[in-house]
Amino acid sequence: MKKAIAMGLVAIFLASLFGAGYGLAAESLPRNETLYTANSAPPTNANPFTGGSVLGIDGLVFEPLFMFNFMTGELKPWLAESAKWVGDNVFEVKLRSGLKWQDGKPLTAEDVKFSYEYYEKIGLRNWGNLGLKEIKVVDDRTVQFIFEGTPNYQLWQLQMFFGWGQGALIVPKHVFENINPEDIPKMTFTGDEMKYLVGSGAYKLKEVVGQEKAILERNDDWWGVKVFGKPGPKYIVQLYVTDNNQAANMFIKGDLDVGTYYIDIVSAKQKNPKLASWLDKYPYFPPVAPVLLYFNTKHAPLDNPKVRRAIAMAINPYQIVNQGPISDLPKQVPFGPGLLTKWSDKVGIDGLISQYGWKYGDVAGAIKLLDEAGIKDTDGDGIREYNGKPLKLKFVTCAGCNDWLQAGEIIANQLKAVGIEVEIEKGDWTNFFMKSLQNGDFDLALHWSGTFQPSAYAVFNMLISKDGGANYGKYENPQVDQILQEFGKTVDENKEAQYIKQLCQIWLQDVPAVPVYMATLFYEANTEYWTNWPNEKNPYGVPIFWTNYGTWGTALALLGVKPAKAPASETTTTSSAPATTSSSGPSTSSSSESPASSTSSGGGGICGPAAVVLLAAVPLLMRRRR
Amino acid sequence: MGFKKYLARKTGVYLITFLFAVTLNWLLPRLMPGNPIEGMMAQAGTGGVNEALIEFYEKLYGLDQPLWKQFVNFWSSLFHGDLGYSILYRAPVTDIIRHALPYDIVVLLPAIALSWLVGNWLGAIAGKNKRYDRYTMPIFYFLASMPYFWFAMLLVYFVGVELGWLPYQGAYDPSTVPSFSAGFVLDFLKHWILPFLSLFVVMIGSWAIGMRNMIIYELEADYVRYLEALGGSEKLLTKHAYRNAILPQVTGLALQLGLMVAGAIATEIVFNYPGIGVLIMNAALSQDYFLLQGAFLMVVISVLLANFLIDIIYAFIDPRVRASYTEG
Repeated sequence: MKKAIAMGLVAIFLASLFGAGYGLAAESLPRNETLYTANSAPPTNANPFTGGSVLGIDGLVFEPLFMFNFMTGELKPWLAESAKWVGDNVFEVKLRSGLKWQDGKPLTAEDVKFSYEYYEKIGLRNWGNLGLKEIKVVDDRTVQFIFEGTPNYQLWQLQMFFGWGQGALIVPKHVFENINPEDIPKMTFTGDEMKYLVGSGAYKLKEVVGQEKAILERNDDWWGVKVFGKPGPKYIVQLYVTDNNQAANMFIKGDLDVGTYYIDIVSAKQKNPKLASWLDKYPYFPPVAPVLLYFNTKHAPLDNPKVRRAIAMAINPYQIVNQGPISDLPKQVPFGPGLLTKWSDKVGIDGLISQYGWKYGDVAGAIKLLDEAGIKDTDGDGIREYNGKPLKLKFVTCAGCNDWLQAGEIIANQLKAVGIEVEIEKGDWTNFFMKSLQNGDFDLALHWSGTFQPSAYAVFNMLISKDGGANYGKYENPQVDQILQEFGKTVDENKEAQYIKQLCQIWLQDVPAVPVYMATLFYEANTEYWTNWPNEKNPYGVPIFWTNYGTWGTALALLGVKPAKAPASETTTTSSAPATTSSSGPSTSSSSESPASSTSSGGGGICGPAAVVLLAAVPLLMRRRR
Repeated sequence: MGFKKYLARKTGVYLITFLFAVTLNWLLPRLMPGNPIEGMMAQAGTGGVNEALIEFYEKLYGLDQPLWKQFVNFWSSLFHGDLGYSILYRAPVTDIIRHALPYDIVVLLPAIALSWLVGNWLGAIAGKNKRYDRYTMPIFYFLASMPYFWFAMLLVYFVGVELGWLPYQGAYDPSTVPSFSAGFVLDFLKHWILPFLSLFVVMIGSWAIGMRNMIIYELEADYVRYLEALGGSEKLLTKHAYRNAILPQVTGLALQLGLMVAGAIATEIVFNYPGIGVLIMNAALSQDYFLLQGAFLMVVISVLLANFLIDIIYAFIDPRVRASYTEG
């Protein structure tokens, strides 16, 4: 009987493995040549057009004309050597020399033309909206984008790298011209379709295993070796880890090298001192974009800039940072650290703030402004009256957004001190929160989508232009629209700085929204096997290890890491490869793999069933006696 | 003769149930407020350019069509063996389920089957032996009422992280790729032990309690008393009581096995074990209609199949059922 069960079990294992259709030879990747990262979504789709769930398809396998570094706001020429406007409506891109595809064929201007047109054929982009009329190949290394009229230079600039609904990756014409663009959206580029993934980048997709992991292998023949140097890791493995606690355990044990997980970094660092993040001190994690408190500028009295300014003054970000979500202090302008580094000095942002800005946490000043606006507490209940009714503001947020809820409660308390009552309402994201924002059914709300943007133009265009995608407060100012229009006609840094200065001034005077804290992303990196992770002092790459941000700087980070130890010759490819770590000194217990522990583990596993058997044996012995 | 009629009637009932359940599976996710495509865009955190993208994806998934047409499309593709294309994971639903299901079965089938055998055995002994009962019942109650994810977390923390005896995450070592080598199978088994144990140990409790109560009830029944009065041996008494007591347990087993394809969500999360439970959870959270439909279709099929089989098996193991249809 038991034998039959045991046999059955073995049969089930084998059958299930068969069923999953795995047919690869046994192999294990050498730990000190492999970089492990993880994502909370399983790798299922490596589609370079719609943006899949495999990290590095954008940036490491396929490459853009320019790479963008979100943490510094800098565009880095990648496949392009340079690009400039040669006429009012002609954008000329000059490719680097010696570019080639992973199959050895040269990458030429024809491929660039083909790629941009192919995205449009699939239906994912509409370059016509930006005024693009024609893409012309001048010679093998030169391609011209020709526009109708004068295009918006600022928006076009953002099409040089790849993101959601934006930009393009350069794909090989000789592979994709045979594929009907209508088939592309439902292709996963895994399994048999993986043969189409002929990129130009530093890595090739080696394998996608079920929904569990994706393995990238270094392309030693990469054109960029001469320009950027050879990347460190031979393999980059993307695991599928959903749970933050699980990720924390893996970081502590050294099974994960880098990732974007919400873990208690302080206690994790105590257990594994080799863990690093963006900063050495609180908040440790990289601040990326300010969260804004939006005012519904169509609702009185929030249509009055004085009232908005009073609320801005009543808010104390120090308290939010100390008692609320993990965050950093914001500036009064809606810029994250990347844009601040880029523009602070050129625009003189600090000067603008001291001239036109306000003082956070200035309760007395806020009270004075509200009194001036004629909003006073007439019935003595501590709440000011506006037009005879108590001033009650509706703050909407999503029920799952704990950070915003925490911050919202602190803000409600701070506003109560100046006599404004805030009522917090929460619901689900799409149907309640976003709907309230779109329908203008709110007074106050927090959001960051307008500030998590690649350029200063994009930020202001999203936030305060008339039809801005993140202008939830419906702020309207013809002057802003005019400045943005002029701004769109230039890529000259000095002129840009001029326009940013004007827009910042309007922002500070009119207060369409208030930055209340600088939101952080999560980021943890393990320096046991790989070093030179990007951090505040060395922001050469971006610590966002999500998919679809490859060309926003993730690829730069993965290309910049260096092995912690020189790749020794002792990397014999056996299952006990991590035995080498024992020489690296104190308590690097990657014990799950060492042969010694595997024998003891067998004992541990039998322990449980053995206890049950023992439990059952006792009554049997007792019964015999009867 | 009678059996054929019984079979035909049962088949008809199950067919209607199937059609009804699958239709509900199609309809219920669509009645949830919200739009999966908008949710996808909101998660991507982009503003502005979305209109065109939303249109693109709605067309891609056929969500721009009227509801009745979506329903027709759903059935027609179902009969072509096409379960659709997951919105969340952006891969064919059949692929996703095919990759995830084996892992659930590998853990759940042995856990359910073995815990059923062991639990029934222990419960039967407890039902007969008062002294043993006194010691074991608290343990059974403790096991049965213990949340299984909590026990799993204890296993992860103590056995996996603190003692480091066994790997505690994934189905196999991250540095390996599934293959037929001895090394991989061994590695796979090592990763299998903890998730298996976490379910096995907890399940024993409820099976044992059920069996113990049934045995006590059956031992008090008239037929056993009569047999005892006739001078039947203890072994004979137990044999008869056990046969009657096992019937409800068989039904329970069938239901458990039928629900197996729904996975064990908490276990999968705690051990980061690739399985279908987490997929279903994520699909529900992000309104991935197609994955939800596909996964629940599997659940419906397997539950109905298990029930159907049990109906048939009952006809053989329970003479009363057999009598009811051969006579009728």
